[in-house]
Amino acid sequence: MKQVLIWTVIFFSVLMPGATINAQQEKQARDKFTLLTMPYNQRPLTLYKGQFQANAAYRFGVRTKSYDEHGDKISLKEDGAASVVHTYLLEVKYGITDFIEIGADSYFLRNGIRSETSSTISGSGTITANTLNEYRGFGDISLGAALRVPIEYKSWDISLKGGIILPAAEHEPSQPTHIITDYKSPNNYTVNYQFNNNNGSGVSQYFFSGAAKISLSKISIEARGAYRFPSKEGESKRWGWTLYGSTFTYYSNPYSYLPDRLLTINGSIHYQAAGWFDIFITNYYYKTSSGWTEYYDNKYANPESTLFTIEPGFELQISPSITIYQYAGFQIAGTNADAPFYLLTTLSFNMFPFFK
Amino acid sequence: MIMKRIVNILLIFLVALTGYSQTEKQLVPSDLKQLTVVTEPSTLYKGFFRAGTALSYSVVDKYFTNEKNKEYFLQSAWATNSGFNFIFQYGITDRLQVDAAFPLAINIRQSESRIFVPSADTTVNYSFTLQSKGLGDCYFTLKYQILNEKSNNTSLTGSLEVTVPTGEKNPTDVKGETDYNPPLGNGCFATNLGLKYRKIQFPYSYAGYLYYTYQFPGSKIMDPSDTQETEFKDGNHLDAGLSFSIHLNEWIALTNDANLYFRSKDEIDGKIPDDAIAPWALSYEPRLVFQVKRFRISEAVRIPIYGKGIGADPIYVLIAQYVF
Repeated sequence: MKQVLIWTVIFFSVLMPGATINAQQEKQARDKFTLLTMPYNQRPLTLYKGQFQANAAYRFGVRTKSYDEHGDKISLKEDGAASVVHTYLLEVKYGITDFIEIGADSYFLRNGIRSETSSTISGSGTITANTLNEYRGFGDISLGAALRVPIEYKSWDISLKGGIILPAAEHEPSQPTHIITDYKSPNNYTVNYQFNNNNGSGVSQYFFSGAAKISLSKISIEARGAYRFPSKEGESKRWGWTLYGSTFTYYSNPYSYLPDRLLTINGSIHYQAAGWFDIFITNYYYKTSSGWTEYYDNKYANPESTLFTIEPGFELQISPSITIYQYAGFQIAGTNADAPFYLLTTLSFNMFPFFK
Repeated sequence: MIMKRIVNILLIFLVALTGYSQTEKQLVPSDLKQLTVVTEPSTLYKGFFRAGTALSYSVVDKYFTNEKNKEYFLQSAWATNSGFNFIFQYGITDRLQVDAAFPLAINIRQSESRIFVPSADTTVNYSFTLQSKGLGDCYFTLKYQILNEKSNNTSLTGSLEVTVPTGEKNPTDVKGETDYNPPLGNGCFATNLGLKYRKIQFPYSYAGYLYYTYQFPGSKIMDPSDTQETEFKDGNHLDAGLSFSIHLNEWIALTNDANLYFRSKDEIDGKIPDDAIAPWALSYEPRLVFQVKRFRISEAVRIPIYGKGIGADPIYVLIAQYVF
C-alpha cells in the first residue's frame, strides 16, 4: 500500500508539471490579420471559423493535341480541329468552425471546335462544308462540405469532403444554326454546320474526396483524391435536319445516357519561399469509366479516358484580403482525352464578415 | 531682460523645428529607379535607362463581323501570333524621353481541308502551313512632359512616334500559293502623335490618352502570285482610352485600361475598295505589375469587348523591364 502511495505521488509529481505547462500554452488570440495572412505551410486544409472566401478564376486553354486509345498523341492542328477553351470559374467557401467548411462552385465555359473543312467537287460545282461544335454556357452547381481533424494545425492535416453536383445548367443541346453562304446554284454553295451544345450534365452527381497535408518547415506536401459518380441515367436529345433549297428544317430524337464516373488524384509539393509567396508543382491524374450513351436503342460504353498533367504554379499574397494563384497545365500522357495546355489565374478574396 | 530670454528660447525651439522639417525623406536615385507604375513620372528621369521585353501571344479564333457580332472563323485553320518586342527607353532630361522598339515576331497559320471528287472516287487532303519569323516594323518615340508631374502630380505628355518599315513587306521564298513565308512588316512608314494626361493620387493614378496615327502610302505584293507590287495606303487610326491604376500593396499594382481603336478605310491603287470597312474595337486590358526593386514584371490580357470587322481574340502579354 505504501509502495502504491509512493508510486502514485511520483506519477502525479511527474504528470503535474507537464499538465501545468500544457495549461500555460493558452491558445493564441484569434487575430483576423494573422489568420488572413497565414502562409500555405502553416494553414489547415479548410478555412478558419468565420472565414469567407470567394475565388474568381479564368482559365485560358489551347486545345491543340489529344491522345488516342493507345495513348498516342494526335495533333489537332493537323486535323483542323484545334480550338481555344475559355473557362470562367467562381467558388465561394465559408468556415463554419475551424474544422467544418461549406462551399459552392460553378463555371462558364466557351469552346468552339471546328472540324476539317471538306469540299465535294462535281462537274456542276463545289459544295464546301464547314462544321463548328460550340460548347457554351454555365456548368452545374457543386455544393459540398469538408471536415478536417479537430486539432490545431501544426505540421499535418487530414480532411474529408463530400457533396452533390446539382444539374442546374442546361444540358440538352440547343437547336443547330446551320446556314448556307456563297450560294450560286444548287450544286455550288458553302454550308456552315453549327451545333450549339450546353455544358450541363443533366443528372445529379455525388462526390467525395479525401486530402492530407504535411508541412516540414518551408516544404509542404499535399495529396488529394476524389471520386464522382452519377445518381441516375439522364435523357437528352440529338438534332437532325433536312435541307430544302437553302432552308434547314430541324427535328430532334431523344436518347438516354449515363455520365462517366470520375476518379481524380493529385499530389503537390510546395515551397514557402517567403511568407507571402508559395511556389508549387502539382501532378494531376484523372480517369473516367462506366458511362454509356444510347445510339439507336443500343447502349454503347463511353471510352475510358485518362490524363496525366503537371501543373507548376505559385500563390502570391497581395494584401490580407487578396491572394493570386496562377499555374500552367502541361499534359504528359493520356488515353482517349483532349490535352489542352492551359494557364489558370485565380483571384482569391478572403474576409471575416462576422469577426471584429 | 526676461523678454529677451523668452525670445531666445523661442528661437531655439524654432531652430529645432526647422531641423525636424529637414529630416523629410529625400529620394535618392536608387529609390527613383524603384518607383512603381503608379508612382513613376510619365517620362524617365534624366540619365535613367530602362530595357525590357514584351512577350505576346494570341490565337486566331473569333472575330467581330461587319454587323458587330462575335463569331468563330469557320474554316478549319489554326493560327497563332507571338513574338518578343524589345523596348529601350532613355531619359534625356527629366521631361524628355526617347524609346526604341524592335519587335521579333513568329506567326504560324495552318490550314487543313479535304477535297472529295465523287466522279473519280478520290479524296485529297489539302493542307498547308505558312510560317514567318523575324524582325517586324521598328518604332521610335519621343515623349515630352508638357505639364511637369513634379509640381502637382499631374502631367500632360506629348508623344511623337515614327514607325519604320524594317520588317519584310513582301512574301518570301514563294514556291506556290500555299507555300511561302508571309510578310512580317506593313511596308509603309507611319507617324503617331499623341497626348496623355495623368494624375497621381497615391495609391491611385488616373490617365486619359488620345493618339492619332497617320499611315504613309507604300507598295507591296498583296498576293504571293502577284508579280508586281501594288500601291496602297492603310487607314489612319485613332486610339483613345482611360486608365485607372491602384497599388494593391507596396510593390504590386493593378492597372485597368479601356481602349477605343478606330481605323479608317484602306486604299488600294488610290481607291477605296467597295467591300472596305472602317474597323473599330473597344477593349479592356487589366494588368498586374510586380515591382521588385528596379525589376518590373507585368502580366496583361487585352480583351476585345465589342467591335466591327476586327479580330476578337484576347492577347496575352508578359513584360519584363529593368531600370539601369
